[in-house]
Amino acid sequence: MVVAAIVCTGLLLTPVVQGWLLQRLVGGQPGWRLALDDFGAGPRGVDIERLDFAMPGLQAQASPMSLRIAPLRLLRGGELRIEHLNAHKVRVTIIPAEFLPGAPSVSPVEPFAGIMPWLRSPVAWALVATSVEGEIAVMKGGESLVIGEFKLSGGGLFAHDPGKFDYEVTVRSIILPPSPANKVRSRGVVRLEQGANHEIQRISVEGDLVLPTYGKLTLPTGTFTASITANARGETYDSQLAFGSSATFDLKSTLDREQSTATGTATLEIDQSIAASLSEVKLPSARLTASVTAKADLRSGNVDTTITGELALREWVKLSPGLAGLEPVTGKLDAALTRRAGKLSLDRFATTLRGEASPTVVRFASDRALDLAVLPSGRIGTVTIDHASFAFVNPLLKVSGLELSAGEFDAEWSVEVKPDQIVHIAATRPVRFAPVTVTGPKAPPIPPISFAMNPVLDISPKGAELTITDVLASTTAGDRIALDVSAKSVFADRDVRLSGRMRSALPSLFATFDEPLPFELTARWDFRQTGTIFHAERLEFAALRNDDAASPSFSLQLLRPLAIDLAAPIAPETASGTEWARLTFSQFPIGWISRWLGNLKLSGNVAAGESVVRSAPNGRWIASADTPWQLADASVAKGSNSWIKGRMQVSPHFEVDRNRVFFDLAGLEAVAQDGSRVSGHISADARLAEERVSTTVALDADLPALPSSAGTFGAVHTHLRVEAHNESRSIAVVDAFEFRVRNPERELVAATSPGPFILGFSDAGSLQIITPRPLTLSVGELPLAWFSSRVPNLQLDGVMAPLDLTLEAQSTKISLRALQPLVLSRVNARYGGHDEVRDGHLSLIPGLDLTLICVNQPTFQIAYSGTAYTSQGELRLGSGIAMDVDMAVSFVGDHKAVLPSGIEFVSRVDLGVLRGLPVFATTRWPSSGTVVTRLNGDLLGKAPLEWWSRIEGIPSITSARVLSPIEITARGKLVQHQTLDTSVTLRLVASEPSDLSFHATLDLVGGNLQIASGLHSTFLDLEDVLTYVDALGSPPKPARATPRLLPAASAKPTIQAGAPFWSTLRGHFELDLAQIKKKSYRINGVRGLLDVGDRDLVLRGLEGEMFSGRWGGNVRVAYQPENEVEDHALTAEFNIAQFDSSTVIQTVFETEKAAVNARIDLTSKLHSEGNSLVKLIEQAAGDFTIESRNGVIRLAVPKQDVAATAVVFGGAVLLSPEIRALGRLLKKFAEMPVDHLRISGSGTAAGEMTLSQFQFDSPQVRMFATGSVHAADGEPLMNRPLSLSIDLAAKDEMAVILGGMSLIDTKPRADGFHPLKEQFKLGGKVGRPDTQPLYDLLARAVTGSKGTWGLLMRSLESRVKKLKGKPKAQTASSKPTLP
Amino acid sequence: MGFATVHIGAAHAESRSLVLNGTITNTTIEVSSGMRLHMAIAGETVTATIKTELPLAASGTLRGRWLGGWCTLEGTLKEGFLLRMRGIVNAQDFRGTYVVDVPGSTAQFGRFHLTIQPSTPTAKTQGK
Repeated sequence: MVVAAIVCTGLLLTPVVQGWLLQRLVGGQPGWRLALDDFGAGPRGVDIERLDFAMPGLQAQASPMSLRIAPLRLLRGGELRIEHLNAHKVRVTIIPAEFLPGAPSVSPVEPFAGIMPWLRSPVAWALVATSVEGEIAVMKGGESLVIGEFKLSGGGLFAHDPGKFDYEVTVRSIILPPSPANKVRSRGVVRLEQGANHEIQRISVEGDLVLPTYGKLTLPTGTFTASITANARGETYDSQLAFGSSATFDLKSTLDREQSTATGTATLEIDQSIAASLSEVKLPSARLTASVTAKADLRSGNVDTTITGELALREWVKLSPGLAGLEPVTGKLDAALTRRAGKLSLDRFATTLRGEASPTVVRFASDRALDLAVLPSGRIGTVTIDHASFAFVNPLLKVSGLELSAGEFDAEWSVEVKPDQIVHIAATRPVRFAPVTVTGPKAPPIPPISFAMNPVLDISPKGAELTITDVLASTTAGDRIALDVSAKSVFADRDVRLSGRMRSALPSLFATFDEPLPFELTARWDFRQTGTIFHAERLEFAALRNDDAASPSFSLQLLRPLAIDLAAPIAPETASGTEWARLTFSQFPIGWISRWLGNLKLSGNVAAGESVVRSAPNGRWIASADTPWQLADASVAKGSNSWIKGRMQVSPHFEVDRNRVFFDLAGLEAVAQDGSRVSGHISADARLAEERVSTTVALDADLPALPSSAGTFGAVHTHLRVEAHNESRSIAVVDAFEFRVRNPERELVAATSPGPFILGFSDAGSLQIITPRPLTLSVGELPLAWFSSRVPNLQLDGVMAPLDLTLEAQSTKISLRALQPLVLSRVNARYGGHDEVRDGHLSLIPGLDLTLICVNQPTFQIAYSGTAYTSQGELRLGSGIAMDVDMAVSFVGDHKAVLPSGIEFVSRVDLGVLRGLPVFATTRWPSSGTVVTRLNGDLLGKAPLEWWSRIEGIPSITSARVLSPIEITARGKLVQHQTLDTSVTLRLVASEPSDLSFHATLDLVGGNLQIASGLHSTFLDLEDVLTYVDALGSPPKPARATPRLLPAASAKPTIQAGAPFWSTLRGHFELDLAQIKKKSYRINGVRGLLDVGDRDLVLRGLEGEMFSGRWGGNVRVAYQPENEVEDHALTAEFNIAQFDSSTVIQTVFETEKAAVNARIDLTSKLHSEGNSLVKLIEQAAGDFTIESRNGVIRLAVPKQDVAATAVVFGGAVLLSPEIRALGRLLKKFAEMPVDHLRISGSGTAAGEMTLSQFQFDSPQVRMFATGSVHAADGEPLMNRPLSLSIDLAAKDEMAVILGGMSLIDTKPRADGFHPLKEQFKLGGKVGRPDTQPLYDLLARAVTGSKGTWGLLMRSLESRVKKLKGKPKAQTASSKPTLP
Repeated sequence: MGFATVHIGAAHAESRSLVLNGTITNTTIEVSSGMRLHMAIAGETVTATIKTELPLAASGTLRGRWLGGWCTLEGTLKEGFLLRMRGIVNAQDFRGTYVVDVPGSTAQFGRFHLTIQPSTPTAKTQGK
């Protein structure tokens, strides 16, 4: 409107327009006025010293203003062309009073004909340029107040060209106080278009609108457009105003000048964002669309209006999380408003709210048309609620653990206006709400509830009265609450009355499984409050026994009317001792409470008790027990287990006045059937003005025994006294604290505070505890037998020496310290009937540091961290120290869980002393040795955890020597759920150190060790390892059944291991062992896979290098607990391909020329049963096969060092032909080429080897032998005794030689070989066979006697000596020619 | 330069010494500082001089036992409090826990981790 005024003013201020407008407006419009001062016209224009214009509601003055026109155009062409209009001191004054209806300037008869007819010109005209500035004022109380400024500039308005004018308006807010910020600003463009007859055809405005901030409301910058367009029938009006997407307003209307009607529709759309900016809370999503369609007859003034609206509300959770269950709601409004003959009537009005997800409908509808000019009377409308559900309250009930079923609420009220302006709202049918089911873990076990009632509400300017009669809440289980209530308020008197009566029978709440409903409850009350004065005129509440309704078992009764000023609730100034209320118990049962105690069963009754409330001087109320409250035949049981039976008596005393509340549970005395007796009192005294409360708890108890400790401590007396007061709302001081338990002989436990200590919460809500002097905790000598009853199957003897501890707290830091070591002495322990510890003595210094963070805002939370210490720990067994240990375990936790976070652990264990424990008596526990261990690091996986142990001084199982130390290093991190991911290195610190390293995961809960990595070693002495395994191997466990007797020859230890010898190790290794050594055997570059499962340990694909050959094999050890004697079984196969036989022999006989020099293939299969790894290896038996081709066998000549041997080898011509033949034979035997060698046989667990086949094929000799290799404990195979019986056969030259010696049959065998007539034997060692028997046989062939090879050689030796004097040539020819 | 190793096996009659540097942490008051320890070992007998830096500054002489890497040290320091250390030495370091008895106050607990310095002149090669 302001803009329109400015535009109009701008136009009016153009002199040319003024010139002819003045003719029409001033003359034709009632109330219009124009005055010009010093109007001077010249050849180029007009100067006006002062212009004064007025119309109804508006005045304008300009002084001065200048106008420049083009007179020649006016003269020649009849066109008024305004070249320039300039006015900079224009004041436009708005006069609100002249806009009011009935103002004299408003014509009552002329129908509105539109705006454009006012803006016509008789001649063609143009406005080239204009610049107008001025003030906007408002007339208030006869005084003109400037409220804003405006500027208008532009032009270019011609007959066929629209003019464009920029405007800027600033107006002071009429709502906000004057301030530079509190202004309404608009800036934009006004366009004017001329019609064909020089009239203004169209006015349009386009601009922005900046409103100031109204409190919390800050609207976005608005944009608007508005236009007035003239047409043949009248005018159209179109405008839009938008503030972003938050609010839009759209108006479209039409003026029909001929029909003299105006029609239009206004539409408003708005969402919640504008309202939300005004609110501290978040609002649900909302969208309101309202539309008003009106048609007005401008002649009669009749108006027909239809109002419709739609409202959508959703996402209630934004408003409050508790409203998450409230469904989206849509609303509709439909109303018709008419004006006929000046009478305004609401023809219809209906509004409806519907739930989007439920059938809930809430509706108010008018019953008839209402004349809005007068107060209606009679019934005007109906409110209905159908199918409403209260399930939306469930999120609010969540914290209480309750949940409501979706019962339906149905009601209908009539709304009636009665005389005296009373609005009477009455239910036209009973209001029903059913079924309501309360469920949830904390819900009482109540069947579905049905509610019915008849509420009536009368509201008038004087007061309101609500009466609800026939309220009935009932269930199918017989629960019933009948209620009538009324409330009445008189506004003028600030008087409210509340009356009612109730009777209920609630078996669902008070009846138990074995007891029917014990009582019904009745109540009556009449209350009134006037101002701050509360009148209790009647109050009666009673529990009526079902078996004797006449004498209530509990009653509370107001004895006389009572008036209390709530502003100062003191007792009335009546005679001291006046009785006001009485509370009585008489056989009031308490068994019904069991219903709410889970498995606990409570029984008994309050046999008697009477307390009376009296007034006392100085406005004091005193409630005291005239008869003590006596609990009789009381018992508490859990299931069939009775906890306590007995009686109790207490005299509660309560006093209150304006400044003090005092409460004392005096004369407290409880006696149980077992003789336990507790007496004392608990009191609290509050000074209200000072906000100080002091409390005292003083209890003494005589108990026949501590729980489960009758035989240990006997009867005990306990004493507890606590005195405390508060220093502020959050800080309390415990002035005295004492707790003692003693028996007739001594004090058992005492916790005392030597002075006050402070408890409270800081301003930040953090718990603070400060002990200026540490609290002390003393534990007397404690027989360890006391613990026996707490651990099944454990019998403990010994004593814990008296121990004194201190507890010191400074803010959140708490420390617990022992003033002397914790000592357990003469400890004997038996578990499951077996001695575990004898004569043990444990001492250590315990300690605890704790940081406790406990806050109560916004919710109660507790968190803590700390470290628990064991320092200077020492375990003695007999006279020896079995273990030294120090440990610090850090931890973090909250109210749900505690987690260990770090550990520092060091220990030294003397295995020899520990062997004294009976538990180790039957095991292979080392007789001496020590283990030092340390474990350090993080237990939460943030930093590494390191373990290092050194075992040393362990004797071998034969005690023949002390084994080399072993060091074990593990470094890893805890991952996931208590799993240790670690790298492990074992190092045997021997002269040639062995080492093993691998990566493993250890399940700290199950104890299983899972390995999935390589098993690396640079050197591994299996002998050392097995010796350790033997010395420290898992101790065998008793067999589950009587061991079977084995044959004497195979008698072995017959005790099960009871578990796989690989214990909890699981996983698989990829072997990478640079060198394995066992005694004199070495295998290099061992590769393979080791799989360890629950019942199998498998070595697969073993390969390496041994004796220059390719070594390989597979091993499987099965754990078979079903084998009652030896529960492990080994099966293995090994092979060595193309190994060098000479290197094998040289492992024992380093300088020996090997009897067999060949590349040999060995295959073997082994099997054994045992209960340890060592036994499995020791007891292995099996079959083997050796095969070779293209080697050499040497049957060495005995006594080769004898000179005669060389002579024989030399084949001296001086020797006899037989000797020379023998010489040729020796050369043959000295190195026989091998076509094929095959040896097969088997070995026993005792080490005996049977050679079932020894077959040797060479071009001229074939041998077949059988025999054995005897066991020799600890000796390598090459050094074990050999026994072979050989059948030899020869052909070709060998056959000729042997034939010449008559040693072979003349007739050849089928293979062409001539068998030796006589079998000979080969003895000696496997690596150094003794060929003596063969050569004895040859010697006999030479000499024809029964001599031996030795005799022959000695005979030959003598002959050689005789030849020493012979010529050199002969001597030379006798030199041996060794092969 | 590598870490010197130390003979940690059973007691040997010859004397040897170790210089160790590291950190000591009083877990009661949650404060750490640097620490230097010079140990002289003769058989099972150990004598050590200790010096710790601020804020746990202290110095003095401790005596104790060495049993296969298990090492205990105890002594009253110049500052007047009794220090008892127990831990295990291996080829690289000395780790363990300690307790301090401060006159007129409650005991304080802590841990230490000291690394054997390579400059240890008479250190023996372990197990070799």
